[in-house]
Amino acid sequence: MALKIQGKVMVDAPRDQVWNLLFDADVLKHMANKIPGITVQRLVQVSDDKYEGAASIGVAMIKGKYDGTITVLEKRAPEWVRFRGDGKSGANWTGGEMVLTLTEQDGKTSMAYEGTGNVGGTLASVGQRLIDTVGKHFVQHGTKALAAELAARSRKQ
Amino acid sequence: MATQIIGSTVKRREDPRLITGAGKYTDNIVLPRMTFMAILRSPHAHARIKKIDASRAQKHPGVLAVYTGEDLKKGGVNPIPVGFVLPDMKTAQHHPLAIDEVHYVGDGMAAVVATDRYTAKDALDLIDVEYETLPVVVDGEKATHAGAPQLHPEAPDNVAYYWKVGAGDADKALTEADGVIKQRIINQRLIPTAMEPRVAIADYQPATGDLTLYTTTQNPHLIRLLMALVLGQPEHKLRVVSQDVGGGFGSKIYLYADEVIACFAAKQLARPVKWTEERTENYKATIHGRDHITDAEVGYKKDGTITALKVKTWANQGAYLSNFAPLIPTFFYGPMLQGVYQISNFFVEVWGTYTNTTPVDAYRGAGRPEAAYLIERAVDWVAFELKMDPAEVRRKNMIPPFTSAPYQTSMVYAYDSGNYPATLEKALKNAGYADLRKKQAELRKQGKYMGIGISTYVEITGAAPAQVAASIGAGVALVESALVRVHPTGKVVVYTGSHAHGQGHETTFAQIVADQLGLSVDDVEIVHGDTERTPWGAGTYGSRSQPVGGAAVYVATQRVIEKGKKFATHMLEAAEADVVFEGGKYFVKGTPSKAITFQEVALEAYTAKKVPADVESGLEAISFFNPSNFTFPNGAHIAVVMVDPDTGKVDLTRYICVDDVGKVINPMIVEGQIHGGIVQGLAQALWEGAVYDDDGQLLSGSMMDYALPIASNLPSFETSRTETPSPVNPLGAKGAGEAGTIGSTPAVANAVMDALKPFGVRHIDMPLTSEKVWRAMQKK
Repeated sequence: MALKIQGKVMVDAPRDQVWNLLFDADVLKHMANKIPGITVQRLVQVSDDKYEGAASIGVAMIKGKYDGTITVLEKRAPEWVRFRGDGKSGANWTGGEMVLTLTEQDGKTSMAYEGTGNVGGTLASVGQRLIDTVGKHFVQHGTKALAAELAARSRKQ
Repeated sequence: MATQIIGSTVKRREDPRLITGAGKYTDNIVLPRMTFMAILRSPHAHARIKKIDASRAQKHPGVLAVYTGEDLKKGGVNPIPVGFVLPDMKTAQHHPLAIDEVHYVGDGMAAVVATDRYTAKDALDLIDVEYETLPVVVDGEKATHAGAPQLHPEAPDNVAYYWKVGAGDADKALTEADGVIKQRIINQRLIPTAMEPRVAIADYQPATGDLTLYTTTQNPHLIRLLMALVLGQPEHKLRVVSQDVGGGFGSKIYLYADEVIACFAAKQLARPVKWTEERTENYKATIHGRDHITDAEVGYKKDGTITALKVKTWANQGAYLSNFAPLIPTFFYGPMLQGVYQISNFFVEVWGTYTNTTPVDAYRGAGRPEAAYLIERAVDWVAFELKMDPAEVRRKNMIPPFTSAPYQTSMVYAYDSGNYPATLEKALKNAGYADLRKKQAELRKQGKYMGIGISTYVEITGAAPAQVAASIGAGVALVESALVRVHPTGKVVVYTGSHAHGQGHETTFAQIVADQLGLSVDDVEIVHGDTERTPWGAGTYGSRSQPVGGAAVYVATQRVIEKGKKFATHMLEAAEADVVFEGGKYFVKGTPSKAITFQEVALEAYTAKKVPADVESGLEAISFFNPSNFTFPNGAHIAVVMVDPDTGKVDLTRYICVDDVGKVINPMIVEGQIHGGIVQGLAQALWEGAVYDDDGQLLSGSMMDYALPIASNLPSFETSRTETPSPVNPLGAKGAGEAGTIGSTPAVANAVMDALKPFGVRHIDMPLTSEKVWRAMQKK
């Protein structure tokens, strides 16, 4: 079942810095670990535009260990990137695409996101009442955490 | 002379153990060295398996074996067969574990056997599968469209079979009709949801080559036969045991892949293998029911006479053909569209189609609910268009009473006996129909919407006359057997090939024997559910146990009485022709005072004190009963609902029914069957429905997501009966297991539509949820 995701967060850092940090596997890992319900065991960059990892994800009572990949499909530095994420566990799968658009505003960066997600297996058959809410919860926490992480790292640089 | 135990209410003898937690369910069985199996099921509705790597799972501590589809194939396991074959049917190979491609969410791909359940489950996550997802189709009609995703190369356009039946000239009759109603009508997919999920335990003894399968089946003999074919295990080295079963409703008829894999693994490992289905598995891996899309055309005259019915139905059969799937939307559906009416022109076409969904097979009613729903809605459409009372349209078209000779219908079947007007008139009287209509009119003036719905159904049960069944495609003779064995003290054990899982055979079959032999019900034990102990039986489904299995018990008992007469003749020193058996005693005609008891005769059968050597000892008899026709129960159901115009919520306020299930052995058990049936049927009208998204994901995959009926939503039912005996079996019984389900769905749907009449609504599809009803009310 599909869900649509859309929103915007402000990152307290200049756009060029945000862009450079955005593709750092360590940033992504820290971000994901700040989302309640997600624990990332591993996240590594395996090529220029591909990341692989493993995470435990719990949607209410449906908990699972997922192996996943993130693939950067297209990008236009420093303002636009489209990527795809896929995860699978024995009884579930998730997948989706997202577009991030960065715009500079008074030395800060507005990060707009838009995408669709899809889930299957037990997640869909038992969790369909929760998917929308949980999906949005993950994305909201994730984007906020990403904004905070990017800002913090940007200050250190 | 019978002592009238038949027809009396005897409390179910099985209940004390079942309601005190002392039932023997398959999951309770513990065997030494038992291992546990879990199945990896596809999370994709349609995908190519690019890679399946079980090496990590195999190394996991506690894992004994991991099997894939290829392993089973190499081990000689055959695909699961279809037991009902139509001409030109395209049967897709159904491997117990998928090979190369998966075709629905829940399709098994690998099995893990481990030392405990949790290890087996954990190891499933260690199996690495790479899928290439393929396009998906879930809709039974869209599957046949050009460009639709294709499931099986052997079935072009996803058509498993095309089947048609007809009578007269439907097109001509439609042209000549005063009016024609065209309506698309959907009979939604249902999920049976037996309270007990399926369980299989396979136990193999390498020393003897014996394989025992304990499983939750409605028909152990059928499972043994099918398993022998699939597994290659010789039938005489295969025993199937099915103890207490917590609900079947048809879903436990079929040979399931899980049972095959458990047997295969038990043989490989030489250890017992147990598999217990989880609820979320049950929703995906156990068959579903119904799922018809139909375009109907009804022709009628101004006076309400129905002249023609033309029907196109797409029957969604799911990803594979389950064992009896092709029977249900064909012979159990098409000819039954005539209902209780004198209609002479029909044309019925059915496309059985493959889709990326759980396989569909017989579920309580099986084909007849789909037929009854359509024709009973159609009668109400005619009433709607002509502004006639629906009861009047029914009277106008109804087949007159026929109790001495069968009624040859327009298509295929001859109804055995029936008095349809009697059930309708009794139901109308019990409901106080005229007063209800007055009350409805008054309430409408106050802006309150009451609906009164009638359905007058007929269905087909008592399968089957073996030769007829064979001629239309059945793979096995649907006869039933009973062995009645009398012990020296006159106590009786009946070994029946039928299986009880809620029907109360332990009570009703004992009533038949006790009634005939003049014994107490407590003197008769009923043994069922074990192929090693009982003679062949095709099983319990389609409301066939009483008219076929019960009839076998009756005939075998009669044979025991006749055999007993040989002993009694010598004991009474009389001529055999003069000896009669009445009230449990043998005596010479005219001298009942000098009678000998059945128990005395039983003792003689094993002591041979008075009989000469040419009278064979022992007292037992077997019967394989093959009925001369199907049986056709009927009834009239009336539902009263209130529909809230603000929310669209439907409240069922009264439910009145009159069912004619032929001669009744135990009124309390019949009433229980009718009650349960009504609930399952009205739940389809109001609440239940399986939901797939376009990706083939089952969104209604748990009890939280699938709306089952609960007691607090329901009024008390006002049940009643008429009794028209069937001439096709000596009991006169017709079968009662599905009647309630078949009658109630259209009654409730008709009631809701009747409430919506002021809003100009002729038809909306089930389930009639608040949202749908409310939206329909906004249109005017």
